[in-house]
Amino acid sequence: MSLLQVRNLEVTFATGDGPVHAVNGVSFDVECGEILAITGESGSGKSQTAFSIMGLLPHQATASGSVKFDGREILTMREPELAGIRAAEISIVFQNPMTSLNPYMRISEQMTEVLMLHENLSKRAALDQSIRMLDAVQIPDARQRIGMFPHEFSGGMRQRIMIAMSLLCRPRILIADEPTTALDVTVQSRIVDLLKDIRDQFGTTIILITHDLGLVAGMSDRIMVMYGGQIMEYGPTDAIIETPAHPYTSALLDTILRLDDDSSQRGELRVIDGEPPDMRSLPAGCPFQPRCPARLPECAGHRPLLRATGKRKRACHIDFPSASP
Amino acid sequence: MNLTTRIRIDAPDVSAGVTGRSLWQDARTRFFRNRASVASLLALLLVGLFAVAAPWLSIWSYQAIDWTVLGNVQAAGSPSFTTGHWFGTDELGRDLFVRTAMGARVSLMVGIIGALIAVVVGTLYGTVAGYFGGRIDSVMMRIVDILMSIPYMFVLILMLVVFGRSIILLFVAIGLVSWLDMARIVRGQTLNIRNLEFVENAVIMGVSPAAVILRHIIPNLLGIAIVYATLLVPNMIIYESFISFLGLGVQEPDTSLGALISGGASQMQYGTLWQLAFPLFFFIVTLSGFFFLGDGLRDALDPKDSGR
Repeated sequence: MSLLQVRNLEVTFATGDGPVHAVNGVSFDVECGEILAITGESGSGKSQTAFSIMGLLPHQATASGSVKFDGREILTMREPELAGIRAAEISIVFQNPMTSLNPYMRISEQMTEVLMLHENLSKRAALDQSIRMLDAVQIPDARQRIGMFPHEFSGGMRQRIMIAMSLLCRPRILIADEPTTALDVTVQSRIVDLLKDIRDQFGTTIILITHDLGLVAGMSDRIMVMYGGQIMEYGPTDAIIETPAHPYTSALLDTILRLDDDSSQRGELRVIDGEPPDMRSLPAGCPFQPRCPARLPECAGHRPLLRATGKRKRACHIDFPSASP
Repeated sequence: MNLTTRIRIDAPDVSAGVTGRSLWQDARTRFFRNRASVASLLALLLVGLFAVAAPWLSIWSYQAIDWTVLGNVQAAGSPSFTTGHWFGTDELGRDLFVRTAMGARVSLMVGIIGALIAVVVGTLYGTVAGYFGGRIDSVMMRIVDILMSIPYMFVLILMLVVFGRSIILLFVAIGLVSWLDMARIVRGQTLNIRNLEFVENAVIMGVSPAAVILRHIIPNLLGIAIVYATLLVPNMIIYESFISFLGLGVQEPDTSLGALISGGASQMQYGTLWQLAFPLFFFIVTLSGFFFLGDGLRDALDPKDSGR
């Protein structure tokens, strides 16, 4: 059985302007030890999907469907049990390393806080384990630097510390919510490499949320492309990057900046025309249909279902030649 | 080659960084680099020393009447080394040096106790309201609004009339008012800090609310609370002086700077200006000392200001 089973997940926000459907019937499995990249534009529901997995939705949001972690239902779980799961089984790394650490506490205090709370370790043992974890994320001189304060580290190092903190209780799933967005490009690739190392070293399953397809192309095992709160395409990374079987995926891939490409040398950036959909009133058919370059008459009428062909799944009415395995 | 050597020099000295430098330590360095704030701190320490030590330095006690001066204050009661009345005497022939020290002691006590109540009660109240939010927040802040809308001077005068004048009642009255603004400021700050990711992280990891408030939220707003408290001290002193000036504050023969200034002001027409000048001097030094101290602390605790 898969480590994580998400079935027909829907997340709805109650707002002053009426309900906003952030996630609409998403189903997927995450296997033990894999790296799954969830990608899509802002507002495509990728973060909300991940937050539901941790039971972390804000109170104006309601989730329906089912999220089963190791056979246990997360969505109906009570807060104390959830807190235990979040610390020890599923942990999260947030986007901004600048505000993720308490500026008035030493790294050592922040790291040992959770260990002492959930693993009942002594201060000494918690500190040792924290230092080992900092070593694992390649913080130089971890034993010395653990006594320092967050403002004495660079952004990339702080993100490493955050990753080390989230790994302290040896979680089985690590959710990284745009972990590289606030960092510069050279640091980004090293964080990505680090995540891959962690998977290899600890066997941690990683769910990586990003809007940067180029970043995940090299490291993830599978990609899930979301749009309008729905899964557009889902499958092995290599296959999706090489032969995208959904107009939205190919449009996303086209936006990646390449130095060997003619158009970018002319100083043009490729964009996807149009606006992301209004989540309060999604179009009846495929959510991408208003912007889709290859749309068919039936696209506006009814929503394409997510259908599997081989290892891949896609939700599109159009027959792509590359879609067949 | 050049580049690598430069990078090595710029790299932090790891062997010295064993303990790390906290933002508080940085703030202390910045504070002591600011000449005005160090001077004000020094002035305040001297006033404090004067307030504590003066009674032992003088041969007079604060309530003993010098009978040789009584009735002839203008001529015999002026500041002089020979009589031992270094600051002169008041209109009853009591030694003003000791009385000013006593007044400074009472005023400082009122100010500092008022500010302490504000910091402790206001910070706890504000963080609890801001942290839990929702209905708890609304109820707690409406209570503050209601308390704020009561005219305090009126309540205080009523209390003093009913219970009789006492210094403890004065502290109670000042304590009741002082924390209200602080609670509001702290609550606003808490709402900001509550949404930062490290707080969220601690909450989702199951750290208890008390631990989150004490370990994560309060240290992050303490800077603002401390600065506000130093600005509150002079307000409290002025508040007490005003009450004493009205004749409702501390009771004779005890005194405070406000009461002394009031006494001195009423004697001005008899040419005994020293009775006003000495208490007023210490009053002004104390007030401006706290204002400059608060200013310096605000600059020091703002990390973005470290460029100077």
